[in-house]
Amino acid sequence: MSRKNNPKTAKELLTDSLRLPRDMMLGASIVTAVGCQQVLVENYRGILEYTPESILLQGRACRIRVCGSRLKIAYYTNEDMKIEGKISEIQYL
Amino acid sequence: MIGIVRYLRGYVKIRVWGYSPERFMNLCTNRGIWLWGLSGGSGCYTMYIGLSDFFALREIVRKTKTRVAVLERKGLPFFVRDVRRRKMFAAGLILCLLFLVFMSRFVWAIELSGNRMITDDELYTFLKEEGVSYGTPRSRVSTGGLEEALRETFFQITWASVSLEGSRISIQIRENDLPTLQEQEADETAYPGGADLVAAHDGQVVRILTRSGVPRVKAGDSVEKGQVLISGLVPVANDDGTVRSYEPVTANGDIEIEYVQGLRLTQPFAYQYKNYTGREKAWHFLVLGEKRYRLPGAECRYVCCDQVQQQTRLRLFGQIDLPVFVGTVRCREYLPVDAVYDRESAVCLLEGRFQKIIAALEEKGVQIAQKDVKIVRKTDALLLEGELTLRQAAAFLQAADRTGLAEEGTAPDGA
Repeated sequence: MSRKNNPKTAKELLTDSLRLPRDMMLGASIVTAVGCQQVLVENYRGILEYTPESILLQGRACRIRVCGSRLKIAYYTNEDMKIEGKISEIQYL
Repeated sequence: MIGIVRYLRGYVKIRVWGYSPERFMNLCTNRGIWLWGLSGGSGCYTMYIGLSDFFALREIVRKTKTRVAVLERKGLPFFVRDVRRRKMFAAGLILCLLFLVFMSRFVWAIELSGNRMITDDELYTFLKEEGVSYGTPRSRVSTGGLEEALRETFFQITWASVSLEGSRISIQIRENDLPTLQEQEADETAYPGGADLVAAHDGQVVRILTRSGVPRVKAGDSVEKGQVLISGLVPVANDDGTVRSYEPVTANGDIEIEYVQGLRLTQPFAYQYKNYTGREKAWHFLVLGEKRYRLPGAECRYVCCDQVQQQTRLRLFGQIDLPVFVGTVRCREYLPVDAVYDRESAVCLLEGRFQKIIAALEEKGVQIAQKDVKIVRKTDALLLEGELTLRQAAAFLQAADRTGLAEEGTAPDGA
């Protein structure tokens, strides 16, 4: 099997084969949406942009954009954050 | 819980604006500063931050070239600062707390439950005699001692529990419905010279079962009210059959007497009913101890009205019962209207009253052997009259009567 067909890195292969949690090993963000009014985000680096219509977060591997209206950040710590409002879209950029 | 901690430590609502507010937030979280309630946008944000963290913002503000303004101050540190300026208010608050602590050392409510035969008044009197009433210090109340005294004083009580919760004493008791040995002993002490069971009604004895004493009647005999049914004087015979002496006992037995009771009920056709006008007025009152004060408010000036009173006890924090009651009297105006029942309605009402009487008798343990009643129509009323034949354990104790007994030293009756 050629490397072109299997785009997984060595670290990913190791994580998968040892069944280690991806968020710990690869720094993948965890996004939990509760209905369309609440989103919990863990494993991120910081806020890049914040308006009532969209919140752009810098994850370890990619960027996450939460779009909607009347968006508020209920709390914001180094570990996780909770976004509240009317959420219409979650994009991975 | 987090809210309480935040309140105790104090927090402020801030507005952040300037070159890079997003970086300001990121730096805050990187340094372990917790932000919450973030809102706003387009370069100007509002958020909440802990008071101690607020003083660590200076460097972040300089780095991110933002500006911070305090919008609101909340929490205990600010409350204390404000209170320090109002000395009388602070003194009042402290005095109020001291008053509460002081008052919570006394009994302000007594709850009774489970008593059926023993009335509330009897129990309150007992408690007063034991030195427990409203305003008694909690330290003087011995729950164990009260439980013991309750059981000793009231022989009907089979189980008693006294608990002291806050400023409330809860007394739960359980009574014994069956006649106890103690009751029998009480009867014996009440009648040291013996007691007869005598008839409570004129009638005919249907059944008699003697447990102690000498039966003086037999089933089928007609008896009069007050006649001795079971004598409490048991003859002790000599060898020659003469009576040596009488041994006094408390007569005991089951006696069922059948008697006839007349019944007459009248149901007038004319009656008055209340036509409520829909107008209502309510006024409030306050009860302090024995006195009742009317609070200013609407006055009830209706000519005819129903008054419904509701009263509740004031309780602080759901725990501390205060000797203060507040209540409302609601007046509903009505106009009395004269009306006439038709025959069917009047018969229904009359039959309802009759059934109630029957149910009340049955509840008392009276058996109804025969009902012989009829409804008669008069000019202005319906009349239900007739007779009920009832069977009942109708006998009571009375000091033993020696009249009619053979003299000591002579032959007994029928001997």
